[in-house]
Amino acid sequence: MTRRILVVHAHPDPTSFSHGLFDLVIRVCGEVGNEVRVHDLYESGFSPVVSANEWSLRGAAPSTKPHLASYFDDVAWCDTLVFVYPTWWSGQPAVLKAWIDRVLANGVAWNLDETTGQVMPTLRNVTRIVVVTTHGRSKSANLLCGRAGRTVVVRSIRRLCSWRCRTHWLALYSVDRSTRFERDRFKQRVERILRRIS
Amino acid sequence: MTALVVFTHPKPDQFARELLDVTVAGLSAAGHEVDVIDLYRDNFDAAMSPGEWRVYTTAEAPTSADQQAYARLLARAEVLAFVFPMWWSGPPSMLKGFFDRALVPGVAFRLADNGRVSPGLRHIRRVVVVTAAEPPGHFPQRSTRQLSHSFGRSLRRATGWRTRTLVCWAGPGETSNSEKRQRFLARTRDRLAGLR
Repeated sequence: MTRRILVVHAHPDPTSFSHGLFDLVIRVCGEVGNEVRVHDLYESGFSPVVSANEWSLRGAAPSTKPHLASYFDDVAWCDTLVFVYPTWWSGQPAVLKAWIDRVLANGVAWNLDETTGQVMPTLRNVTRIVVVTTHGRSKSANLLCGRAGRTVVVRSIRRLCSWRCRTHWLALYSVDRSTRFERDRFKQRVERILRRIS
Repeated sequence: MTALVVFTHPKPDQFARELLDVTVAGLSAAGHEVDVIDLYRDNFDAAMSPGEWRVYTTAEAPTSADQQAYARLLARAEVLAFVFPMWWSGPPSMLKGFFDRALVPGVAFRLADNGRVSPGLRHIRRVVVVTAAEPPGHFPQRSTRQLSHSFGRSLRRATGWRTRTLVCWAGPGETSNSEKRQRFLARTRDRLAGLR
């Protein structure tokens, strides 16, 4: 089964390990006949903050934000979301958090039912979420700190997706002290999982 | 004693402004001199640039002017308070940018050659989080615990293990109901006034 994959990536340095993972993800996803679209947030100069204007339009229809229209289209088009980023301060980098704050907006990721005040999810097209991330600290330190970044994806975003949506959390811990062997093994794991879901 | 309040809101409506006001009033009543950073008013750049990333990896002190200005404020703070709306069960990207860019090696922590991290903000005794549910769009579950973990415990890497965290969390009821809202604001002010 071919999939429609949207890859979202945020890392300032194109020579970094995280960017290498991003290249790997695109290569593997493209190999098996999937359609791939890419949001490389640093390369596209994505604004890292919700502006005052966007904030005042938070309840409005997506058509009121034409500068984000292509991002909205890609989110509605995909059936697989892949996030590739380094974990900083136990969460997504600000630019990726901004993508979540700005792109997953009213009318795109959810609709508000006026009568009941309930949130109606509209990301039902998404049946897989894959996160590929690196942590500077160990797994135990991350568990202690509550894994805030994971909560954002696995609880908040996952809830708006298809009811049978599965999440794959691929994390390399203690990356600063990792050996080349460990990094290569992690890359193989990412490749294996991506091939399996395609 | 000095308290540093980091305020984040793109367009402070009445409630966001009230949250900031009670935080400042409460900390003043506790005998602190209060500095306020308003990230949106400062037009803070939340994205770490490639150049700053390279400085980060060398573990040297930051070179950008805004990072250095915030480092000076952080250096004299004993209480560090954050006031923000919750979006997607976390802080807005603007505040996340403050963590990414202002709390860097040379300011928040020091990296030794053997990879050990030692805190650089040991003078911060208390971390305070004042936040409100911003419905709709996210689904806060066990938010208070989540916040005290992600702020308090993560920040202990910068402030040392003895720092304690106070979370004042206004749930959906308190953000929509004006009576509950006033009660929440009064309670928050009292809790902060009692902060030692």
